[in-house]
Amino acid sequence: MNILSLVLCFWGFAAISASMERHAKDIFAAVGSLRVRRLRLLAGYVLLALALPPAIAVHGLSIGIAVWFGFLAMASTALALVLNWRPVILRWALF
Amino acid sequence: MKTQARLIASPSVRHRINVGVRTGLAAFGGYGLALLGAAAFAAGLPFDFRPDAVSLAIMLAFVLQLVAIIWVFAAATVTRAVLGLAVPAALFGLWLLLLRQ
Amino acid sequence: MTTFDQPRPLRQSMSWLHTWSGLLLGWLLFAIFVTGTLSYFRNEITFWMQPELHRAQAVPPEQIAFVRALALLEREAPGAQQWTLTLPNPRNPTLGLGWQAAMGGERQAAPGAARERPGRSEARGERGASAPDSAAERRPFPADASRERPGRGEARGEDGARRESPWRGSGEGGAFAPDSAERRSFPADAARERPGRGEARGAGNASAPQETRPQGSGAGAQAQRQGRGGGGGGGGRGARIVLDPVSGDRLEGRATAGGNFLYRFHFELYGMDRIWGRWIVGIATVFMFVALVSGVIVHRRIFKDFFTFRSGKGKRSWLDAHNASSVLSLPFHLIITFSGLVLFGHMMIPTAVQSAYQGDNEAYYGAMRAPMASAVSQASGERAPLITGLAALIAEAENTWGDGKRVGSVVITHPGDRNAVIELRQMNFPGLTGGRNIPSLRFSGVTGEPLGASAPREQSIVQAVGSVLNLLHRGFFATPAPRWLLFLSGVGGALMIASGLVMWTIARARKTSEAARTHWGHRLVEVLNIAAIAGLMAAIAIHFWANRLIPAGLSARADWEIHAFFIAWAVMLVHAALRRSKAAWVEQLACAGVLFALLPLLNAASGGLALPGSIARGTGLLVGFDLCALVSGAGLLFAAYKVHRHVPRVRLASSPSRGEEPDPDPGPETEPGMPLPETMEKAA
Repeated sequence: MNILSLVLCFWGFAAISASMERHAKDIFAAVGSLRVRRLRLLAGYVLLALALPPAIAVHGLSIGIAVWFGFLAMASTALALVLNWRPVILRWALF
Repeated sequence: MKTQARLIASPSVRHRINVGVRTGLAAFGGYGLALLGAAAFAAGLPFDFRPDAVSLAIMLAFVLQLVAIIWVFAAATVTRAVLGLAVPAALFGLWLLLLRQ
Repeated sequence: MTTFDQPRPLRQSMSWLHTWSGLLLGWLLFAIFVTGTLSYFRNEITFWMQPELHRAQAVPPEQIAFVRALALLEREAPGAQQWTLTLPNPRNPTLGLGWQAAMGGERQAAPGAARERPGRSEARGERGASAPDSAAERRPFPADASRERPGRGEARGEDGARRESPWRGSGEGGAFAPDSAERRSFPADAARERPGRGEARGAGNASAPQETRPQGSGAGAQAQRQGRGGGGGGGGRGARIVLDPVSGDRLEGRATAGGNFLYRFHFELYGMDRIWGRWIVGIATVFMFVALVSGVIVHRRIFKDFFTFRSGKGKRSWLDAHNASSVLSLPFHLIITFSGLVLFGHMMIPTAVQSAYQGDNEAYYGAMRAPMASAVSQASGERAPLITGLAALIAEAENTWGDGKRVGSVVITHPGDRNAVIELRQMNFPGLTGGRNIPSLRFSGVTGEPLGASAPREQSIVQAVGSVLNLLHRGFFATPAPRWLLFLSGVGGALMIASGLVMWTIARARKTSEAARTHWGHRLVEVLNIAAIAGLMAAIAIHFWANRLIPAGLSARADWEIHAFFIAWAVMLVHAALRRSKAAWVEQLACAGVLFALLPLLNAASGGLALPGSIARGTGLLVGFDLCALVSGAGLLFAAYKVHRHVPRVRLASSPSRGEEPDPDPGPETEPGMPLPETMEKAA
């Protein structure tokens, strides 16, 4: 469940990053339409939200929320590194 | 006298004096305001369980200190920086006075 | 440049504030962050630093040699009011025994204690059952003894490690004694100043075995500070005696402050009055708070640049790294800073209690503790044998709780009396909002019949908030995942501070002339950066090496471990001052990296359980320590390599073709997300 939550965080942030012009260009080599990018942004937030329940299921409410924040931090850091290193590999996970 | 006047007139010296005053205000004014605010909150916040008011007062005091320090450096002029500390300090003092009565 | 006597944008003044509030105490903040981050694993560190204990193996309760343990307690502490057995747990596989003196006159010194090991006897005397005499001796305020309140005898009977824990007493806020600022708060004073603690224990609060019980001994650390020798006492978790859980054999760990040295350093420094240390750390924390918030105000592209990290672009990359390490863990940074302040709250903001209680601190602490009704049973004076089937009771308790909850410690009150009570406390805090209440079940010590469960204490919202701040700061969690997240976030915070410090010099060096770069202020920052960042890493590594290289039997060896740390750090400072900055960076980073990477080998060679063995036996905390040492070593060596390969852009600036300006790929991001420290603009 921890892993699930972490993966959802990463995925959500990846989608959010793909909604930003600069990163979309890096990932897909094209900026993409505004509609698609808005969709990605929405999907990203949904995924981040979905990462919360598994964390709470494992750790209980209060610690679960803290853990969720921790996962958000770790996932976004990892994503920043991936975006700098090989943004293209994010393609397969996104639309 | 003449040199002194010129020194104060020179922009870099004026800047330094200004920064020095603000730093002093931030350090002592910020902390003083935090102490005063904590005293007012701890005695005045409407809690049945007084230690709760104390705990919350301490937390608010640190936020107050932070805001005060930021304000002192953000304010356009030193006068406004001072006023920004003096007005809330006066209010807290008034609150404390009312509480004492 | 920012001139404060003229109109200027908010971001410019905030940039100035961010730069200087971050720089001025940045080196201290870095040390606080690093040692504080390591403190999340101080139990593990202490255990690693006592290789004599490594071969103990955590076993389920039914395999624990309770009979031998109880017999030993009967022998060592026959008249004690309370015995505590700390069960093996994932963070310490040994069985710990501790006890408290009877409240009345029938105190028993620990007979075997003083003769065991010379280096330990003094610390033991202090921590020992007969604390009042020795405490009075060493305290400057012996008269305090006369102001003893009921319940204080208890607190005082605890071993020093617990007494000293600054946050132990008053439940949620981690209250400091308000008057502790004025006086040296020695352990027994502390007990008086914080009456909450006595029943914090009675109510079953402070008992999560691996959490609330500092490992090794704070007493050791303090005793050392005062040149008293005496190290880790009994070794594990403040227990006086450490046993192998299976055989019941006594384990003698070497005298060491263990992870408690780093832990105590992070909030009260070392070698000075602890109140001074705490004030310095508290002020540094205010600086941190200001730097964080002003940094957020300055960073206007906080969402646009959220994931932005561009490597290999010199100053730009440093700025990105600084932004990323700050922004991505911003909730952590804010919480850890604010909770750190709140933990110092009663010390730094004494007016709150003064005003609410008109200066009557005792009234405040009395009110704090009122809701915690403590049910300390009275001894009957009639003797009756203690039941021996602890394992069965534990099984019963764990069944009652269900959900995988485990018993962490067994507290036996009035052992040998007809009214003996056995209290089984859960291993962990169930959540963050409940304060330091830990669920427990009570049984009669003679018949074994259940006496009921501890009543969960109602918490107000303010208390719950305080509890969250306190427990989050201290990483009190059942499972390792959240602790690791805090640890990693702490590493992120250290990187944030380090990158900020380095950026100050880089941003300055890039635009200024040769003359300005050799300016003494610039050089000072550079030297301090090297010694505070790379030098601290090397000093910590040397601290661990000293733990194994200083003979286990040497008197005052625990002191020398700490001295080694500071001597190494001082040497690094001198080295940084003498060498050219790049060479100093490379050498110190490489030195730290090599020392860390070799720690697993040192562990194997000096009596510890080596990595293959700890993996095979499933001693996770040793595996974790060794792997962390390897990873840190590799990271530091990588950093050394990168610095070594780095071609400073400053020198290239003379050849425009390879210079950094203009940025070859301006893009939308050329406008800096954060204005650079204005000092360089001024110098330009």
